[in-house]
Amino acid sequence: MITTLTLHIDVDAFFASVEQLLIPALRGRPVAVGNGCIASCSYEARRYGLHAGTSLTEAKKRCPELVILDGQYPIYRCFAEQIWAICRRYTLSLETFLDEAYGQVDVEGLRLSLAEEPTGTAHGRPTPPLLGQRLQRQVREESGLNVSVGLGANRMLAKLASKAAKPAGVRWISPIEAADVVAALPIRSIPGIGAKTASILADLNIITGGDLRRLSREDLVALFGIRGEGLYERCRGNDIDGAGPGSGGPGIPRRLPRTISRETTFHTPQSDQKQICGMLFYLLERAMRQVRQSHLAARTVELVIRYDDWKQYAASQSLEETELDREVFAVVETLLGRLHTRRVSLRHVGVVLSNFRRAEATPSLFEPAGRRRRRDLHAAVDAIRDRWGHGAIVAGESANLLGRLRQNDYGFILRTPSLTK
Amino acid sequence: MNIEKVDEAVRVFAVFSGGEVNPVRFQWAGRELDVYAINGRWTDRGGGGCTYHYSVQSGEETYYLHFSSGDLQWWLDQVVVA
Repeated sequence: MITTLTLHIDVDAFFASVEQLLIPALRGRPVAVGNGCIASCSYEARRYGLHAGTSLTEAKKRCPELVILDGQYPIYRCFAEQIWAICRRYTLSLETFLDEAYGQVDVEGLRLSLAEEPTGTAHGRPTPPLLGQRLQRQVREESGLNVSVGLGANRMLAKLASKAAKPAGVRWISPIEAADVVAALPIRSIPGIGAKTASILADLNIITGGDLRRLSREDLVALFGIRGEGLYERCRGNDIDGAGPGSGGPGIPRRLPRTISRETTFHTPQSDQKQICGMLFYLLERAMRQVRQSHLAARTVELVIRYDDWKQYAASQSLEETELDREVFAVVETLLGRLHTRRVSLRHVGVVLSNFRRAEATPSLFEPAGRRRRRDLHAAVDAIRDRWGHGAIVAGESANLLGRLRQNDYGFILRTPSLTK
Repeated sequence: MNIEKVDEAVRVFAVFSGGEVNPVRFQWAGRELDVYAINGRWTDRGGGGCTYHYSVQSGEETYYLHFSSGDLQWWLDQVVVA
């Protein structure tokens, strides 16, 4: 018997919707938010084939009447927090991202709390879509924004359901229909299947989830290695990532994230080594803060740089399992020395952390005292930043950015803050 | 569309009621402007106290106001002229 449901909430065209809410003159008009490329665009803009990632030059060509805004990311963050606060009233736990969240709902609690609803019940038994509609209504009333809500037995089904519900809809994929829903999907729509995998499958005349089910577990493992196991389960409506958010559903640990990254484009291409190091340290600090919040330790770091002539390079290096900024930054500096060899300004930089392991809850007895002190320092700094905002403390090489970049409570205002999550 | 950053302290007539603050009229640049509609509102819960933000409509123009609970002052952040 199912005791919990997974909920996926997706804010429709988030940044553009906030702008249309706050500026009535934008309602009904094609609006894009972004700098260099589209970070979010309204549904009116999507009719012109525009989507996140489209360059603004291309967007303006396709839709000359497009209104382009830089975006006000601190405002979007406030709206997101308001929406997630509403969602927490309905969920046991909630894992939030920039414009979407996964929550876990107690089915029995849901039945009791919705028992008085006049509609949406069959013989007095409330249905999950009713919860979605109520949540959606409450978000609209309190924030003025539309969300799409998907419900299912696991994260994958909930996400597929919310995608099908867009815009401003509610969809529940019941356990009975789950397998059929996934069978009817084009394989590219199944989570975990990218262009490369889809191309290999297309060569085998596998087009839908149903086609994929014809392959045995052994066939899929032979084709794709360990990933084949996941594909075998997903095309049957099972989610290998576990049932719920956060650390997973009951008894099912959630998979560790593959990467945690932060990247940004400079306001103007940068050749000053101090500024480049300052930005990299700042991005790394933000990524490492998330690593610590998730109780992880990173074992690989990758540096990505893009020159002003758009040539991009990346290099990675393994490191001792760590959650300390300084230890990772030493490696980033080495990688920068190896990669930044041309006398050309940099336009874009990023750090990607990967190869995670759960951090030890209890530090080793034999840990050097200096390392322990650094760990304590990080805990203190993280606590201050959690309360007062990341910008409350400017640390290390980030100080090089002082006076160069504008700041607010949340840190430096970057050119592409959406990319820095 | 023209967005003008203002960032000036302003005098605002507001109704504080039922846990809500609703601006109804404000003075700026020697003029008194009526708030026809509140387009949207959001709260910024920084460590230094809450800041209550509003996008309000007065005629064709959209005004971004905020009230800081730290210094009990209203500010006009920007004006959007369609």
